[in-house]
Amino acid sequence: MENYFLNIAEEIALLALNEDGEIHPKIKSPKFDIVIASSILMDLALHHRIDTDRENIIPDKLDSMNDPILDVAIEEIKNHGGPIPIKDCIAELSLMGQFFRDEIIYSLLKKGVLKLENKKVLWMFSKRTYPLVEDKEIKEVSARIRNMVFSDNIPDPQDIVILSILKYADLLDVLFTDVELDDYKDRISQIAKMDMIGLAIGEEMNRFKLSDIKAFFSGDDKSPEEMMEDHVNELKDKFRITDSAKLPEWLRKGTPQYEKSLEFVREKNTADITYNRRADIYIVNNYSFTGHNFGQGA
Amino acid sequence: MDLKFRKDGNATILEISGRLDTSNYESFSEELFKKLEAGDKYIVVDMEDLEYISSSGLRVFLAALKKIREKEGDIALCCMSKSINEVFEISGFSTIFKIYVKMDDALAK
Repeated sequence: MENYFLNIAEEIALLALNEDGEIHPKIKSPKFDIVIASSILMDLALHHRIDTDRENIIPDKLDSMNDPILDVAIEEIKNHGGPIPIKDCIAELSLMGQFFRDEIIYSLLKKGVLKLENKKVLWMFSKRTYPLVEDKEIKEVSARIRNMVFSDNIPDPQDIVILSILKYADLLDVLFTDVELDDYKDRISQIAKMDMIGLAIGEEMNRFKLSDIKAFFSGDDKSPEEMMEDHVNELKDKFRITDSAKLPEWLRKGTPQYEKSLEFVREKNTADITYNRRADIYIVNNYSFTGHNFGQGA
Repeated sequence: MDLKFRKDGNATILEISGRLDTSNYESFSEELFKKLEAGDKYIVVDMEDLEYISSSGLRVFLAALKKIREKEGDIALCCMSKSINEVFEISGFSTIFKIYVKMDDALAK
């Protein structure tokens, strides 16, 4: 497969960011963690780290990709030791959404696509372009996706998955006008279906129950243990996890890591947190790309 | 997975059987693309004995279709089982590939 300059999650983040550093409102929803998780899985599939069919993620060569975002996902998949239902895999990675959001922006800063200015991340160049890579100009993602939709050409796999994500995440308005969406809705639907993970996202997004998570988790009248228990129950409900044994260690009561999670909850007085096993860090979720954790990834 | 190629007039027929997944998509891709490089312009894939196809397999088909159409050729699929047909339907691949119930119909084109 052709090597792309950015991974899919990074491409999606760029699409959601305008020239003034403003983030598309839908990105700030916890529901967007499903989109990030799915982007990562799609990237792993394109790079033959996993395979997919209608039901499952099937581990393939789980070698490192030297990408801190994708490598974390590879580690999580390795832990299962076998095929994983797509929805379960999406759920598990979604639990790490805040970590991934921060790492995506950090990566884009390091790659010179974005810059930090007055605490905002902005495109490095006044026109939305990428730095030259090996003296080649890489077509910016929005131009590529638009060209793909407006043509009759057979699409490239990476662009299929990006469009698929945008459609099922209800983010097509970042790329297309209402008129274009109407004129090309058949073409968009045709392309968006061509990825099995994309189809799974669609189902997950429809079933996802949004709740006011922030207000639910913090509160002076609950103990850290109660907050944590509520958080776990909320996540189990959100991702339809019925077996607690399927929860990661940091959310599974009775494990040493769970005790560390409680310590962090106690310190921050909120259970709306994420733990990254590889970097061994806890983060408070803020459902934004401009978190305070730049550079703390693995 | 087993692959068998044969010629029928201007068409190249590829019979594929077994499973097409992450364990063998690369060899499938190599064999298929060899035919494209050799100039075969119309390939009919007999999928009667194909039991299972994953995303990796679908991507090989997509890449091959893209390449052959650049050279004004085409790939037709035929004789799919119900389960394989469902995969192609759900993924929308049925809208970009020419799919036939019978080999004769595919060859008649």
